[in-house]
Amino acid sequence: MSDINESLTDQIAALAEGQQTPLSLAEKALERANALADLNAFVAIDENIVMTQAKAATLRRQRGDPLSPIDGIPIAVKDNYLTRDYPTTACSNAAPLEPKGIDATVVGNLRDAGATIFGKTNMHEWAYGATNTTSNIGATRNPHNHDHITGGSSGGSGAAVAAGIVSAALGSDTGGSVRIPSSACGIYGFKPSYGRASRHGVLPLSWSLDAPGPMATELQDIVHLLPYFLGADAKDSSTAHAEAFKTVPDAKPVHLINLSGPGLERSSEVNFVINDALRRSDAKVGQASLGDVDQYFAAWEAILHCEASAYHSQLLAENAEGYSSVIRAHLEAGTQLSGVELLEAQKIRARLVQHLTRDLKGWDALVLPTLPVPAPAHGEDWQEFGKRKVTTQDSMTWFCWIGNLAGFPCITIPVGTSSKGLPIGMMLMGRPGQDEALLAVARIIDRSIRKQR
Amino acid sequence: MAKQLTEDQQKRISATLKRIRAGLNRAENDQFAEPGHTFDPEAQNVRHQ
Repeated sequence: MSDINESLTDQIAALAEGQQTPLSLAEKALERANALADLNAFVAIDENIVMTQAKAATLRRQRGDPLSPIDGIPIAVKDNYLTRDYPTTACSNAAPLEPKGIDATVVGNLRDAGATIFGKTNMHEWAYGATNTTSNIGATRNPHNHDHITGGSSGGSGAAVAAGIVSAALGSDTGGSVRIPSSACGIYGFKPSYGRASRHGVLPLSWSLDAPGPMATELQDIVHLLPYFLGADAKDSSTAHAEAFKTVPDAKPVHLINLSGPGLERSSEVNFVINDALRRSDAKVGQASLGDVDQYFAAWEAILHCEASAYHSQLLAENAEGYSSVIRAHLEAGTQLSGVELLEAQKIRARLVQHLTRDLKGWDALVLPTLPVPAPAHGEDWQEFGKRKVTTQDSMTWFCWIGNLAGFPCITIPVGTSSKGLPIGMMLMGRPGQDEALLAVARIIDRSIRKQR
Repeated sequence: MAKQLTEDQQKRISATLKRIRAGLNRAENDQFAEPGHTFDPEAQNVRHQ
């Protein structure tokens, strides 16, 4: 589906050449959003807010004074980013306690560049799940097949981009929430290194796992958007040492390690598509396993629930009934883990980082499928693959959480489709802080795949 | 006062805690390993602001 949609890169060129105006882009996006309302991709779109921004951008371009190449391009925003012109609900009836009327740092950066903040997208409640079926406005629908889920938690952003409503959208990622819907909907999604992109104003799920990231139609769109994400922000101390976005280097020849083994099973269909894509690339591909995946997963889950429970403690005390049943159960579980257990989890986390950076040598990127199965159908509670039977929720985060526990940058790129025409994505994981080098690897893999289609 | 947890919620909590504890208990007991969440006072240094 992304092949037929106009990318952000196309829109930059069309605006520069005068073939489009910010007003024409905004009108087209509004029209398409109305026509595709059944996807349930948006929590809020205010036509007046959109058109006011688009008119101002059009005037700037008419004066020959655009604020940036993306001035006047509509960009959708997940409903856990604070926005000064829209309410922020996290798709929950337990309303956030954060101040109103301010922009998250990334939203502010895009607004300063003239982007049209288009609307707020549907998400899994509080980003605390990966199916996008738990939301106070209902589930999102996959543009490739409405009977299938988008995955989440940034499912509305995934659907909006894949359906061609907008060329790019913002997501957040704690265990795969940018990459999961990007893969399930056949688009590109990037999770920056932990500490490289400001989380300020993005409602936290888990402070030490969260990362904001772009979701877009083409790989080059991600390159255009990352400068608005990466770099130091005084409002997020984790970014104190973060470098601003640098040029994407040349990275040939590329050495990949394809991770597999116990705990990293995938369906034979997904496995075939990933291996075929690797075979068709020029990359040198080695193999490795990860060791005790269940132990690493337990550490991720412990940190996730403890940090989420700490963040939500006040709201949970004030309005426990506002949360959906499953989310409240997650939060209560977090309160029952001990400090000793959390520290044990952090030790295991350090061991994972050491294993990936020291024990595995000489790699430019680690490879996994983004998802072990194509997007499940609505109402499917279980997935079976590789002699495993797991809940649909667990199948969605099956590989992605590794990047959050390690804090490494990750990207998903669409590499094929299933027998039912549903997208299959490949995940590449780079070295911490080397987001640009990961993009260079992704570019090589992406080019070789597109060339042979 | 929040409503009591339902039976379904209590089952979910038990299952979650059981799974996490089973995973954490597989860890080798390395007394010299330090937690991965580094304390970084310099992150608060005003020169970055």
